[in-house]
Amino acid sequence: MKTVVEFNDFSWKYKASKDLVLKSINLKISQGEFIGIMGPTGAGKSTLCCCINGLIPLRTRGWIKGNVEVLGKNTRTAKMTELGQRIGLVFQDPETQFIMITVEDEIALGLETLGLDRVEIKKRIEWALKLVGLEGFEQKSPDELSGGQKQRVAIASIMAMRPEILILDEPTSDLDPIGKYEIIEILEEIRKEFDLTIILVSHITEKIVQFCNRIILLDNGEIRFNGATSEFLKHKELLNKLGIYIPIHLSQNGISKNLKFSEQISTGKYVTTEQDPIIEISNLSFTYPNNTQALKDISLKIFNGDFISIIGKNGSGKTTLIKHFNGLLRPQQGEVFIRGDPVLQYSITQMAQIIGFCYQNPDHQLFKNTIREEIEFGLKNLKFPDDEIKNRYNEIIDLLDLRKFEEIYESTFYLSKGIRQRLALASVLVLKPEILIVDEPTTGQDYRMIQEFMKILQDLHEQKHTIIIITHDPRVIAQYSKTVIILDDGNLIQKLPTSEFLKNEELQKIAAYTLQ
Amino acid sequence: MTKLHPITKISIVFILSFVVLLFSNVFDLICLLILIIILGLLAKIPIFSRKFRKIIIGILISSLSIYIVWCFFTPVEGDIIFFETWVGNWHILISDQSIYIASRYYLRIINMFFLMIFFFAGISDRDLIHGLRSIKVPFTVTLIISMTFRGLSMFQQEYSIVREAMMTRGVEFERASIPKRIKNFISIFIVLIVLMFKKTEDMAASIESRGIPLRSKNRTTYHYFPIKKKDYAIIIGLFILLFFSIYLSLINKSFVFLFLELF
Amino acid sequence: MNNSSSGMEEVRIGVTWRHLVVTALATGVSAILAIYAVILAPVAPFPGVSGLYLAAAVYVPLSLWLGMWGCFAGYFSCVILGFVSGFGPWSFVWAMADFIEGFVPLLAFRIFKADVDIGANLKRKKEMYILLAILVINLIVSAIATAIGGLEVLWLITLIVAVVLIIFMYIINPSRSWLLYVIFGIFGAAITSALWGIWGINVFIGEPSAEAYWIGVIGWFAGDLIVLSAIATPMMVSLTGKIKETSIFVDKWFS
Repeated sequence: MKTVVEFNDFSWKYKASKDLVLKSINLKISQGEFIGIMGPTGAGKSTLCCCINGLIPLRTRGWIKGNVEVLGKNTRTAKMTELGQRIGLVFQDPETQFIMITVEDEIALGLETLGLDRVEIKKRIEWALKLVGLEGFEQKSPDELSGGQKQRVAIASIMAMRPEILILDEPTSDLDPIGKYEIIEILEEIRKEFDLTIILVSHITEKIVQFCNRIILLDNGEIRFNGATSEFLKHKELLNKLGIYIPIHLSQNGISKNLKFSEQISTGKYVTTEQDPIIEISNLSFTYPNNTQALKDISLKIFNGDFISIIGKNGSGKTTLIKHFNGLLRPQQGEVFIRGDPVLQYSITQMAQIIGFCYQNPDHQLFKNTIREEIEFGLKNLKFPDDEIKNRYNEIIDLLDLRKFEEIYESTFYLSKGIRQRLALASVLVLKPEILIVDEPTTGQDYRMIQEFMKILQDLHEQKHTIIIITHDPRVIAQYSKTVIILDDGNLIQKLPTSEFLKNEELQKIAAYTLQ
Repeated sequence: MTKLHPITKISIVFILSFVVLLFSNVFDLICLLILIIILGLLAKIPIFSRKFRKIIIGILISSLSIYIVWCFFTPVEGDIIFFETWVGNWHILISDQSIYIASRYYLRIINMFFLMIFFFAGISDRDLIHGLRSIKVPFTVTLIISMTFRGLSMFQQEYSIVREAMMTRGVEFERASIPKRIKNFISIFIVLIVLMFKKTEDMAASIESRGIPLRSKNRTTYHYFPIKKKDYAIIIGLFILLFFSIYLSLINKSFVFLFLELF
Repeated sequence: MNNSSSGMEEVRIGVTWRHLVVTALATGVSAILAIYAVILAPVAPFPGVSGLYLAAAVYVPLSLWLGMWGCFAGYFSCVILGFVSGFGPWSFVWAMADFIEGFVPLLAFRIFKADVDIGANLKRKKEMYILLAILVINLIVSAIATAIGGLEVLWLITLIVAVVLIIFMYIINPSRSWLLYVIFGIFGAAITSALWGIWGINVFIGEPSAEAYWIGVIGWFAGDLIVLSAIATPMMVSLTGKIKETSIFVDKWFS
């Protein structure tokens, strides 16, 4: 088979990085292969993808050794325009890939560059939208699309250009289960219909194993495994060492067509006192200024010491509900009580000491230059005395194991995403809130980082914090939460123990719980 | 309005803006303002909707400050003196002439402002970009404009999220002292700048990865909006108005008084 | 790491889409901040002028980080502000004020071939900020004395104080970058943009008296001094080091 990608003793270091990000990579990819790339966060997977489509080195500063040949062209000397027109790359973030104002314009963007006439462009737009199941979406703007739909548009705009190689860099990472499912379905279609070379980077072992005929495992810039999928699962020790998640049914049965999710529920300590609702909501409704009714007559009690997952499809009202807990939104109809008192009687800054909120993107809540300043930020705002600030700082930095990073890194901007997330948590926990709310704690993280982060939450739960997480991750729901609250289209469907939820397929479907 | 070619819509706004700059008679400016409002209503632009009413009232009030410049800092003799005094070397003189001059520039701003409402409400982002492309403005420029619009809405959202995040850490924006507010803004700025650089990398990578060059020689245009007869008629009419306004400003005559003289 | 000895070659790149994208996004950010600033702290009687022009804290540092692209972002964001404020096409002329504001410090750093990282090896940060605050207050008093007239003695005193403060800053922190930034990035940027900006507004509103002009200049100048010293300076100190390491940083004019 013809070789389409060849790495020859290739090494790369970004201008900003201290070490090599890719080290002496030797790799060949043949036409028509479906390659899966896996590895822990920071292994170099995205960098490898950018080396194939020419972004590295043609558009990125750094240091290079060796070369990469793609479709017969040396990426050091090729033209970016030519490579970009023959190699498609779908990125992780659906938001920033959408450049134009409408779906139609977005797809036409690349086609106009190819010099195609209007008739041909129109044909390809229709074809591409049909491929991704978005017929009739031509005039929609990005604001009207869900994450999954935006990602489908990204795939459509690439496929319309008829690339010879398609690279997808964690295309489902930022999506809810429905979005993930939609993308996986499209990949199935593409794989069946087109003789494309496809390279998929993902943490979802089940899907990599399902689709790919060869898997490349990267760690710390080096290839640790490069072989057939059937061989991949045999290297259990290596996979465990690198924190690659192997679902039980795969580890037991090898590659199985039955990919229905089933995991053991954690039997950790369950600490709750039914008599003390710490949050009580009564007939809560909320409508946004654009007339979207986000919450419809919700009544709910959350008890002290619980570990709750709030689940539901995108747009079901999860974030709107949470914002009523910490006072960021005030009830329009109905009432919200915190510790028995109406939430309206608390100012938002008073709420900061009762309810801590961690955002999905840690970049939204890290405001200061150093770790110390960041952790002390909230305490200073609330005018804590200096002694207290110092004590709490020392307590939290050791609890979350951040002290070593304070010594190594001058600035929070140099920290990796996982550490930034931990720092965001520290900056909230230092205020000692009784209730901790975390929005999507696992998005974009590898298995090991998820485990580490969730362990911290579990430990906090055992120390009698009430933990509420918004999540789409079925593993997290099953392994950690004790109670599940299901929302759909602004309605409260049910609140029930996780063990009962896991037996109820109807509810799981409503909540878009599984990947199938 | 919606059926007009994008370039016609843009021309209405820009040519009338130049006409506003050329008119110096208060009555001309009042008539022009009425014309702009009528055009806006005909084009079904909700000029007097709740959303715009607040902004219009704000501009109407804040622009009155021009009267302060002309009445309190620029002594202009006139036929009628309403008020005159000296405070040290500061001569305050409010006359009919100073009020007239202030009114002229007040109306200039109000006219421009209504034209801008026309522009923002009547011309969509898409209209602007397609209109510019139809007159062969380089693709790179139109793509930058498109990204600026995307940036505007993206960062409004990011700003709200970051501000909220700060509130959950005890920041009180409304009750804070000025130095504290400045400090808080610095924090928001830094986050927005960092986010901006991250988004830049992602968006640029997305464009480069589609092989779009900085300068496209063989680029085709998907959208085609033929310029119809009524578009030509309107544009020609606007240019006639513009040249006539230039002529009138050169001979220092008022549009309204000329009209009254003729009839 | 001695890259050349290990056989690695450095990759340098020219102007890419990155530079255009950041100009577009920065224009969007600056425009929002500009409009917000004018609503928050208008300088009556001048439309479009703010006593706390927050946008300057974005595009002035951007000019030092991104070269001319930052200047363009300042320019176009001011064009947008001009249109919203009712200046119409005159905005294209008036907005040169913000272009100049970014260009003056950029030009200075390029002519003197200085490193824009004013935070590198910055000694006694707290003292430097305090001295900067005193200098800003002093400059505002000086500007008022200049505008009012008849206060030559006060003007002279403030001038001497300014020179002494700058020398003192240099003694504590002998950094060419810091010195250039204070002189051109704060003072130079603020005064040049104020002179052009108020001239532009005055032409638009009929060229009233010289007194009105100078009052406008003081308001604009003082507002920008505060923003550039209090907001832009900490941003420059915090972020420049990090931005210099990225592919987007411009060390010449365009790349």
